[in-house]
Amino acid sequence: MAPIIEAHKLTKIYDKNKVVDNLDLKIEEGQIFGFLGPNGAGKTTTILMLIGLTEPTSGSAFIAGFNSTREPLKVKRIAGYIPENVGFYEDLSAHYNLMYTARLNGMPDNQATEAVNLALEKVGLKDRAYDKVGTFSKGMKQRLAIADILVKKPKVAFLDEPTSGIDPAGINQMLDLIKQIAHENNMTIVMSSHQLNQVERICTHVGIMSKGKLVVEGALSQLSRKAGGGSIMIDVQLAEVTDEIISAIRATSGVIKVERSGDVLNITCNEDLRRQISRVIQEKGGLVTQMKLRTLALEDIYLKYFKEA
Amino acid sequence: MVALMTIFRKEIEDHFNSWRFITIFLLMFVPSIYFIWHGALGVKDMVTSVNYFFFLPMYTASILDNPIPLLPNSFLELVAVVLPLMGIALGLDAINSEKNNGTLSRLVSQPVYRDSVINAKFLAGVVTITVVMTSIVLISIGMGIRIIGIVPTIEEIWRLFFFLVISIIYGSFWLGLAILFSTLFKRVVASAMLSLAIWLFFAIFFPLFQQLIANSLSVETEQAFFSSMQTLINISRISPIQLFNESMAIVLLPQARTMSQILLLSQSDAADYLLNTPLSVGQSLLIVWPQIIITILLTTICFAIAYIKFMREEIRST
Repeated sequence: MAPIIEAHKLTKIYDKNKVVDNLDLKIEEGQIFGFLGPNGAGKTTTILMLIGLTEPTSGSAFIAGFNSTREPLKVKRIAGYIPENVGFYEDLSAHYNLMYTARLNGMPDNQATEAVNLALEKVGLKDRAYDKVGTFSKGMKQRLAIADILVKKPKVAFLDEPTSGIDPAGINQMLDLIKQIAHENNMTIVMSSHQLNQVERICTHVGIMSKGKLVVEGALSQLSRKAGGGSIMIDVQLAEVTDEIISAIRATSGVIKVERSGDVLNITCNEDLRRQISRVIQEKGGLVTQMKLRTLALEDIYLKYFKEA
Repeated sequence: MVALMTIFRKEIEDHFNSWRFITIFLLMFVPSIYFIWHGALGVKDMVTSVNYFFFLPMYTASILDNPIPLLPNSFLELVAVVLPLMGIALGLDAINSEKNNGTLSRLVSQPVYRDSVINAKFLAGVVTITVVMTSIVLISIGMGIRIIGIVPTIEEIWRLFFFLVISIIYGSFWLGLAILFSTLFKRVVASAMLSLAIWLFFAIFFPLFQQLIANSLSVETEQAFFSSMQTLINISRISPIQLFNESMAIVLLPQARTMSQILLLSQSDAADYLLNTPLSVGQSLLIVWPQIIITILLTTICFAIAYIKFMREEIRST
């Protein structure tokens, strides 16, 4: 299957400044793609080029096979976009703002009303539907932006910093909402952020941008393995640690290193050996209280690639 | 097309609901009614005398015998001064407020051709001006019939129709100017101030300068006087307000001629006859055709620059 979002050698130059530099990107349908990078890395510019709001200096972008520069209207019909600092008409009600979006997308009024009411209910703004948006808090406006996307129901949604400026509880609510609508509507989501833990929470795939280049890209699980240098860490907590158990584990094929800290053993191996390790421990009469595969946190990956870049 | 109509509809709703529009509307509507009422009473007293047109003079009749300088003294002068304000009010933040509020990037990310946005905004302003002017003219006709007791002739109705059309074009020029500044300047205050400054200049300072220049004209020979008068008239025509006043005076007063014509005709032997015979509507329109065309041209230039600027610029939310 062809990827739903595709970029070929996408480049944008502002005053001799390469903001986006020969970017190649493929995003498959159904992914929640986290677009990471420090401020000024070129995330927003890339998104703008992908949906055809900015013309690339060179290279091309496609959404569902449509060229974003040459067929912007077709792209805009299937792609939704929430800019950072999303704005609504402050003097108009939330309901009217969303109806406007629906009408602009060519929905007849009765269908639009239904979609708007559903969307407002989904994001928990039903009670405030007829209040002016000017009275809304930042978090409510961000939720209204999600409702805006829900009314349009695009195949692909681009969210630029959807969690900026809202409180921690609001952020969690927001992330859950994004994840939920993506699943319910089979929507592909591209979300830019510099909050690593947020991206980690809901994204299936990430791309890290730095100085206009995509430094690394892939599924979160794969990335953590790659970043760890190909090895896997397993933490085992035992009721009682004996030297016999440790040496038995060391003798297991594939195990590279075993370190002990208190009742926990940190085992480094070149593949997932949880099954073998637990069997060895059992044979030696040990009791496993806890065992987990340690994945490298996104922060570790992020920092690792930034040291390299 | 659907998108254009949607934006158009929202803009119209916005205009008619905004305090800014209601204020300017009252500023225009209330004095208009007063001026016409006053004019109609004046005309009523003249009905006994032998006159060809009864209806039109109420639009051009002066309120005060000794007018306060720079203040409108007839319905026509009122429209010349206040209608620009309405055009400016409707367009002064058309583009930059949407940019500043971050609504523009959301708007253009919908399946909408970008030019639909600016076209719809311009169109909504023009339609709003049309509604306002048409309602004022219709009410004035009703008042005229009621007070004077005479129905306007077909010729007078045609002249009123052209008055309406020309005033809509005139209002659209100021609308286009305001929209132009709202695309050029990021801050609403800057764009609003600039539009108002231009209005103020042409409404108040320009006539003053004209007066100063006229005072310094050489009047030694008749020939020199005529040629310098002609120059003065040509200079004054860079003012859209002057263009409007000139064309309106001709359209609403069948006997009227432009200043240049008066200068020309007054040198003829049959001056009295030539200057006092009423013209047909077609003839009057022919006289002001250049003024109308120039106003349309100015409007087009403003809108074209705004259009090109808007189409080329990059829209970002921050």
